[in-house]
Amino acid sequence: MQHPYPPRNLPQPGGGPGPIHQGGNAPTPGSMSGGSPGGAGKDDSYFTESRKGEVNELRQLLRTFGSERDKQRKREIIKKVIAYMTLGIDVSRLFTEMMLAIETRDLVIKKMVYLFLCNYAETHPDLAQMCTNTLVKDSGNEDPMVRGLALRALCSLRLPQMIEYTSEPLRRSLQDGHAYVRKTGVMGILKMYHLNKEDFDKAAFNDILYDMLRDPDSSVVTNCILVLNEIMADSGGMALNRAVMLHLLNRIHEFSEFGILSVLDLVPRYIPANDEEGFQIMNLLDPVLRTANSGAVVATICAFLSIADAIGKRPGDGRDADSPSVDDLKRQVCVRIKAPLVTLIASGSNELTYVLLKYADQLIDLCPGIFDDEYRQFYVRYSEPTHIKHSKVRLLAKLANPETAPDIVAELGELVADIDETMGRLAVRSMGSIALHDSGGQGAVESIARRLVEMLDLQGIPHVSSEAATALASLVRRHPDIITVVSAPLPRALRYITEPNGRSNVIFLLGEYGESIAEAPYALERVIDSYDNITDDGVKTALLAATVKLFFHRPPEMQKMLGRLMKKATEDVSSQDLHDRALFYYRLLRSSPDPNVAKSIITSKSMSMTTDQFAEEDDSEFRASLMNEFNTLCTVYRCKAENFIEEENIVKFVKMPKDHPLAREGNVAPVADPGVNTIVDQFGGTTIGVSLAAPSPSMCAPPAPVGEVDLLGFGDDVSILSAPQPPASGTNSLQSLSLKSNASITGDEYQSMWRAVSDLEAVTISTHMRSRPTSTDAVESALGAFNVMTMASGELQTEFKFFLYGQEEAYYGGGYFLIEAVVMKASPSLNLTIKSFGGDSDSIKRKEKLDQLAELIKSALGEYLH
Amino acid sequence: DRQSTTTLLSLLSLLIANTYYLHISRWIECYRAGAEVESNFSSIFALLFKVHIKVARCGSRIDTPDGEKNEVKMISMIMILNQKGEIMMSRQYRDDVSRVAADSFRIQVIAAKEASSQPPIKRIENCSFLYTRHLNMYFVALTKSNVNPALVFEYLFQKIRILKAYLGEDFEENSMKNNMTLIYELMDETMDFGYPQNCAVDVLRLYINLGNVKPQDEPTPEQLTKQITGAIDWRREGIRYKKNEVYIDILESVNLLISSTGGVLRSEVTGRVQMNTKLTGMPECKFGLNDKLVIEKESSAGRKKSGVEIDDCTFHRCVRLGKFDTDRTITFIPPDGEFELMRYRVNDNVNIPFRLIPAVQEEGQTKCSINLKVIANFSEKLFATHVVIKIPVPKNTSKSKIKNSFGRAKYEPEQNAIVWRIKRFPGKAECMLSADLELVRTVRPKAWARPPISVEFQVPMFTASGVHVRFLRVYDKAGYHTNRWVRYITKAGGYQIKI
Repeated sequence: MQHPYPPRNLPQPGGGPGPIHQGGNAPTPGSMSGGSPGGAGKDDSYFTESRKGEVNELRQLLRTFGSERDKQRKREIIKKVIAYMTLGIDVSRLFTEMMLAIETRDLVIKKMVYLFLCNYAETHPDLAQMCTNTLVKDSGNEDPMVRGLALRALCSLRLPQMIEYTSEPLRRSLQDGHAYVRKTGVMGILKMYHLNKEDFDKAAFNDILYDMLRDPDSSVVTNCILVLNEIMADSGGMALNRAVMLHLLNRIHEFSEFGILSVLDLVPRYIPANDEEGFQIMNLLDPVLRTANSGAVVATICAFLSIADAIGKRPGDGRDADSPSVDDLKRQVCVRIKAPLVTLIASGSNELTYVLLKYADQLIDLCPGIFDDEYRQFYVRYSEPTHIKHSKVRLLAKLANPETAPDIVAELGELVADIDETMGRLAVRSMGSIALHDSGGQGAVESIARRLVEMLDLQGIPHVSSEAATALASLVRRHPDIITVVSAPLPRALRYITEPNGRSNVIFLLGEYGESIAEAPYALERVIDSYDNITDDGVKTALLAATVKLFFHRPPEMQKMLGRLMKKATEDVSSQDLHDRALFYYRLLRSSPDPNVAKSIITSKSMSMTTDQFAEEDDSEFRASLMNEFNTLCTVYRCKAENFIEEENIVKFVKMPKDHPLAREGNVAPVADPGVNTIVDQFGGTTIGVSLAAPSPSMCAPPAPVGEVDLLGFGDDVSILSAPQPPASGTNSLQSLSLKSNASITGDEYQSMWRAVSDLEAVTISTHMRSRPTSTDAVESALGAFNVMTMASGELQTEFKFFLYGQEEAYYGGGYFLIEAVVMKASPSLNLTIKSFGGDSDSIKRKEKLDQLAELIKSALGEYLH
Repeated sequence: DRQSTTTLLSLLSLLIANTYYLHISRWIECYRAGAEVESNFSSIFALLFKVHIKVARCGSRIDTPDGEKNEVKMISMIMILNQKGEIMMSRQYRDDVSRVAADSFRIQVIAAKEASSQPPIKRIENCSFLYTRHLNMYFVALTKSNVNPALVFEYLFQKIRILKAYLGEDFEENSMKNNMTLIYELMDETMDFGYPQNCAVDVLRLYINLGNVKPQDEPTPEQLTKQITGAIDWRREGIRYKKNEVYIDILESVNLLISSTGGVLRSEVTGRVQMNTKLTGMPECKFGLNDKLVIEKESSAGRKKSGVEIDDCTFHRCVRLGKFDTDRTITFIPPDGEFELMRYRVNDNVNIPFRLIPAVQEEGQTKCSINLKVIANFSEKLFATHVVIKIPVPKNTSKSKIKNSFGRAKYEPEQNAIVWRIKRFPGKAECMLSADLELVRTVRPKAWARPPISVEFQVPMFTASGVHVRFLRVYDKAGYHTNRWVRYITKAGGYQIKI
């Protein structure tokens, strides 16, 4: 079936004009933006410099606007004004004229005028108020597009006094038949909230928003989540309970590329009810790891880690011994997400690669070793920008294990001589760190030390030899036995290493191990004699320390030069530190009654390290706190949010719901219990009790007044498995029955379909009901949430009767389901008759789906059954 | 004794003040032994040291750990700047930043000396600038909140993609200016109050710039709003073509790194499946590659067919991921026109298209000879095009004598390399190049760093991973016939041979 490309005249997928600008060369008269790119020289005049008269000229033009007939020319006039605005020229003087233009049927002109309004409303509140009438009127326009636009403009005016005008259209928009208007309205609520928080509280939009989480349209739901999170920020973000979370997760495949992020960001805040649920959520989210949107992938990783955190076993929490520990789970998560992350790093753009490398770095800290086998992915490529190269070189050191170390060290060795100085330095440092942390296995330390010694001799590249000296100095402290490799070239190196840092490290080594290096005193002497030329304090102090130390090992050679150095150093007032130190040595040497005391202090060999980390490298606490803010800028900056985000923008989200057994002590903010208060009283408020009690009101305030109680009305007994689209257990398939959210058929169609299917094929079910519904609406809305639509319904004396339908997603067959439901009032019971039309031809499958649908309806009406 | 104790303490406090903490760590360890004598010393040191590290690390605020922390994540402003750093277009979504921010961005990023090496995220006074470039324009997102950076970049890229769709692949400053109202519209639709909204090109086209979509299939407002917010946001209904066609491009790039001894340090293929669909209605497509996992499943009955082991892949959002995860079939309703269906990565069994065998000899300080043999490792029916081999030479090369069997080779001093260009390189062919270089003596002899030989090429109808398309089935109610065209191209990614 594969054809090679025919030789000629075939449009190539890679190039050629896309459909959108096929007509671009001859702009259609109706297009406001159809001017072909780069063409039409006169358009440039929009952006020519403004002279003083030009705004007036524009005003003249605008005056003719009313009488102008040609749509295109009208647009041109308005466009000119907007162009000036873009340039940053104040055209607010034209406000009155522009307002006259708002009365138009041309959507393009409308949009431009709205833009103008939003830009200048703040500075001209009185004038802006005048146009609200038009906007309010437009928000009732028959065209949903216009309604949406007007609403957005109305809410973006940013005039606090406008709230009284806006709240009514807003409220109306939330019940609009078109999702576009609804989603704009939801965002409008947030804008209103920022304008005036008191009035907003009175309007009580929160409940409506929680209700709208069930909206059939995913983009509306997305906005609801975003808005609720921001409005409820003070109490820890949107109130979450099991029903809400599961409802959203089950619909996650409906969300758009960016909308999905809003749901994924909720997951880390959710505490699963039990281990099983945690795993189910992970299974449900697993496919997201395959999307091309790296934002979503990273958010999924974050969600996984947080679930692992919640359900994993910790020492001492007395849980089932069989359940995996937190660390095991996190490791499993890391293994799962490794491949997607590597793919994204390999194929993404430079910007994304940069960001993702930072994430990878953090994940390696979390689970050392997970990326080890992919180390080749982190080799530096010639064409990459420097900041990526640098990140990679830093990372490579962390990927070393006995197997990979030789390759990595060789690769780093190649980079040492790079033109980029920082790169060379980083490469040397990374090599040093591999040896220092003993991650290279046997023999690696020595071979790296040899390489570093070679670099020490690289005369042409001063920064490399200096870095090598620094790395060696640390290395010798960790592995004192390699001094035999290092010692020989040291006196030589001191002659040509120019950088202060490198020099001081060589001097330090000479001082430490000078007893075994014959030339050491003479090398130091040369430096001491040129003391006046040393500008760096670090070198001076190192010199002082080294000389004193060597003095105790080789007194005859050292004594004189020590004296000279002491004199210089005690007289040197350029550095307080040096001066004090010199005095300290001087007094120590002079005042000790027994020289051996001084000797034991100064020549102690406590220089060697016992662990493989320097104290300043141990930042596990810091890293843990970074992990809390995983997919944020914190990772990129490697710094906590408090240090770069202003306080008002920091929101402390609270994990919910608290009543789940997995909620951990650590996660729950301390509740100000009376015990703490009494302690505070007794000790006059000075004890630790204060710091515990003080932050609690803001952090542990109950989530929301509307919080915990059954937000979606389908009861807490809904588990993932009985929720609308049950995932087949064991596999990752989401569900086998999926109903369209926007199915619609007419009454006639319904009747003809109903008749077309014989009653024999129908499935009938009747169950007993615990209580009967109060109205038909209650039943309809409960079913509506599951995409079961209502064709007709009615209340008779003895029964409620419903004609319902649903359509399968096209992908699953696109068949229709027709349902007749009768609820008997007297002895409450539910009788269902379900028929299917179209869709699968396989009768077994059909039957299966009918049964599933019946289950779905039952679970939807769960509150009445049982 | 007392005197030295006080000196020591004052010394320490000074050191801390000077934040010489590397020195402190060394000093502390120096004095551990001394501390044995006066044991309270060590505890003081340890305490001071810890405090110091804490201060250095955390800044002044130390907070109490209290569960998950997270921020409201929105973008405050999107700016598009030109090369000079002037605002061409900007849309402010929140009040917390202003146009003035563009100035600091210009000074610290665009005008900065090392502009090209700066990371794409820059923090200036608590405001984060995340930026990317298209030609010479900067697309900048400003935020004061703790955003998810990957998301912001995805949004910026999507934005550029949208603009490309509207204004052409390489839209530049002028076309931006001429279409600024359109861009304002797009900025308003794709983002509201700092949160990304509808970013699917195909749907945006429906209701922005109706002028170009006209005349016959302009949707009624009814359909339109349904579409804007519907579940399938990447394709609109009612598309019609006379001829139904699908073009599939498999584009692979080979990343190869060979050590000077001939060992393969790294070999990897990253591939993309690029599609251009011109299909009527809402067709359901099923796409199959010779994926090893699938083939093994199908040919369980003894017939042995080899497949390619795909290490990992990502898909366009139209692909049903759940379905892929259960049985690895790729099914989707495609967007109209061009899109990238999937990306994949193959690490094992890479067919290396070119083998290079270099031999470099430095003779003394003034002479150097390079021999290079290049072997094309693919079938003789195929040929590679645009082959460029860059052979680095020492900087102090003065003269070169080059002999080569194919193409043209020239010493290019500005690149410090011999550049060998071969327009058409037949499969299974071998060719040789030998160069004798004369070097100028330098005052301070410096070892030659020997950068790697790098190769660029394109091999049409060849895949280094061995991936090929097994089938593409199109199901639509109308049951029309579809023409399918498949094309393969393998390019060099980072193809380097160390010498």
